[in-house]
Amino acid sequence: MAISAYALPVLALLSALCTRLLWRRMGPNVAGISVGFSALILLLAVAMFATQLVTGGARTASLGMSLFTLQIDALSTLMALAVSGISLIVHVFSVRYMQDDPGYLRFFLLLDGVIAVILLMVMAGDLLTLLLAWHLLGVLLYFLLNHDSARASATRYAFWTLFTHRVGDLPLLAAIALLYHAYGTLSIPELFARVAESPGVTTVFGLPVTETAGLLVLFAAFAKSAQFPLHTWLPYTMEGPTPVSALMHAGIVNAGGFLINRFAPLFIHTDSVLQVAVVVGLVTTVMGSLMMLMQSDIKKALGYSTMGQMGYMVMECGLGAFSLAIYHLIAHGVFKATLFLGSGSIIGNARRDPNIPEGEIYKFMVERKAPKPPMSWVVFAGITIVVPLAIVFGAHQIVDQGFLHHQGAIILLLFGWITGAQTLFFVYKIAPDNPFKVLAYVVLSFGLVIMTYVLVGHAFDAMLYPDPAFREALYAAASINVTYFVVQIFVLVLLIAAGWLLIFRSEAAKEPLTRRYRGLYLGIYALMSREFYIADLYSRIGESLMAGSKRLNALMRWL
Amino acid sequence: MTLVLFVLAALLLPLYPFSMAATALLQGGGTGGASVSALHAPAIKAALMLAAPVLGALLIMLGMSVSESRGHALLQIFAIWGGLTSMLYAFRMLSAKDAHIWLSHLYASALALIWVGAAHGVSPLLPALGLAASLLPLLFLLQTLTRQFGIARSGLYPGLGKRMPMFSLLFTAALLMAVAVPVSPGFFAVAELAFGGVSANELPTLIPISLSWLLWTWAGINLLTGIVFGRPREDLVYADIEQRRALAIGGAMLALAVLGILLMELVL
Repeated sequence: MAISAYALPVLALLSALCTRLLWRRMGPNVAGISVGFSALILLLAVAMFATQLVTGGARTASLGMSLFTLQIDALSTLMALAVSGISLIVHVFSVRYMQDDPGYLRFFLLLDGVIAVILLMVMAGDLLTLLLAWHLLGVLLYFLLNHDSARASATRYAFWTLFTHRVGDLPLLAAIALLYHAYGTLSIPELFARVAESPGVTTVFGLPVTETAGLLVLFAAFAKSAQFPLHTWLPYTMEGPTPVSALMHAGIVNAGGFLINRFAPLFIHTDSVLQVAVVVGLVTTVMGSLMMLMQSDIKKALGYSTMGQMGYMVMECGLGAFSLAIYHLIAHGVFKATLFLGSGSIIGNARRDPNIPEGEIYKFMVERKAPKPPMSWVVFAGITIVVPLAIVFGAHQIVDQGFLHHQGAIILLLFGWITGAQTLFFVYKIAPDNPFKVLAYVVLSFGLVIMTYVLVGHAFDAMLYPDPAFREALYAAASINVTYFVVQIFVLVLLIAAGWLLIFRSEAAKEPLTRRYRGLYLGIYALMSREFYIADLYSRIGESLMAGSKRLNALMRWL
Repeated sequence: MTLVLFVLAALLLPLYPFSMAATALLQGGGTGGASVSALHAPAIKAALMLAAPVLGALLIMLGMSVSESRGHALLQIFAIWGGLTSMLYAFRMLSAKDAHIWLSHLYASALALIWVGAAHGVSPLLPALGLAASLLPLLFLLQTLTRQFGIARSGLYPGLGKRMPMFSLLFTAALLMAVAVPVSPGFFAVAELAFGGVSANELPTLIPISLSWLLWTWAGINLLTGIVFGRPREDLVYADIEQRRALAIGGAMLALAVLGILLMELVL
């Protein structure tokens, strides 16, 4: 296992080396070598994961030095499997997609380099190797995104990415320094063993080390996973080649979720850190989804969609559902890679033929005709609110009857309910000719999705965190005062239900809220279409700093 | 006596305004040509860049051995001074288009951080050596630019990546090494300084280290953007770096990376 673990990143580096050395002899065919190595890495990752499933537990591999130790456990082998799978897809896709690109060789070299660094990151067994890989990932991503370096916009937005990633490196450096000082080791398993022995160690100003380091780890994760307000790099980096977008949205952006999971044994000794993740994740989810709705560019819309998904993933961690976040990031990675890799051909086809089928959706989306509601709004509102709740509740009840004891599970249930109800509301809004048939399809699909989500999530829980006491400790660390929680949930449910009823009523009365509160609606629309001016604000700050630096240099005569 | 030793060290591990001597020396000879004095030859500059911080680190250690209690008290003041100097030069690097000015500012910014670590018990010698050594490949590559174009300046001849690919590859790697990207010795030196600051329960000491490190990256990208990236000019004659020189500089960078890892192993 130790040799296989080292072989994963080493093979990726070897792939880059062979690709470079054989370029003159083989020309573009050299990409086949890179693909071959990717397939080999995937096979190895599958074998490692299968072995891990059989043997269980965790092991550390070392080269006889304190740096470059690797951790072989369920999390690292699962992540290595996901990364190598996505890597192979991206490699295969790139062979033809990048064929006419003058930077063909450079692209494959960097791609292999990035994969090697990600594999090193997910397998890292000591904090310094983790930091090293975490840092290098941002740097290599910069060069991949800046593939067409003659374009100023590519260079500019690649820099945004690098800078945000570098901002994320700093809290990780601080967290590592803090933990190293407090517990005297850089080895990750050793560190967690010592944290468990004495979790009450304090640092500067008497702050608990676990709490402070936990918060710093979260900040590092926020930058890599495009959490609000460190999100601007993600939707703006569409200048890079499409396979890079796929790799970034399916793999690299998930690094935050991985990092939080890697530090799970630290988070169980925190009191209020995970609540920060909930708030930031929730804000990011809402902001990402809102801004996605405003985009006309398909890739930028996908970018904001990723932001929303990453927010949800971080929120899951904040709610104590750590393993669910890992399932989410893998599932999201697969579907987002598919969407990105397919986006080019969809855009190409749509230019030739929009191919929107005539029907309810066409009337609603293109002709903007509000159809007549299919039935009484009161009945439909009842279905919308009750059915998804029953599905979500029932699915959880089948798999884990004790789920209601976890506050995090209830919040996630609430989200499932909102998503399902929103889908049903859309059926009401487009008013299909046969509403019950469409309704049945939606309910069936929703039920399947929820059931799969709950089942696989439960399996991931058992695999990544087999100790039930540890899982309980994670949920406990994420919990807040029970009375406060119940009141919050009650108010939230009432508000959401009231909101739906209000919208149903206004739709039925043919008086949409957007018309009644036109000024407010347009104001919000303008704000959202400018993406809340966050990118503009950063640009302005950057320009001011540059101007300040120039003035200072002139004043000091450049010495 | 300790104060005198520390002030002498402040010339070598440059603290503003003493740093102006070091920056002036490093900026000299940037325009190339026959007027370059012996002191400004890259080999001499490289030797000075390595020797000065080592000497400075030894002076700090000597100062501490003369009077530990007084030395410790003084170092707290010098650490604040060092942190401010580092951030000042890192900030100024953002607008430095002349690569020699850029390098001199980075030199001042990086080595001023040694004071921050020294105040918290970090032995200054290895980090000083690591940070200074990381700058050397870039120094030699700037000479290539100066020889070919008369000046090493961002924005004058962009797009070298398309016209001088081997040089650009080395330049990019050297620049990353200079701004302390893993696995350069600079990266491990920064980590060591940060660990030292925290080990004294002084989390705030991370502020100058982190801020300077972040600004170096920004400034580094500015330099890359104006030299390696962009559209190349058609009115210039380009000649890529000679293979032997490329191999020498590439090999040196590889050796420095190994040195960085060894330095970290020594410290941990």
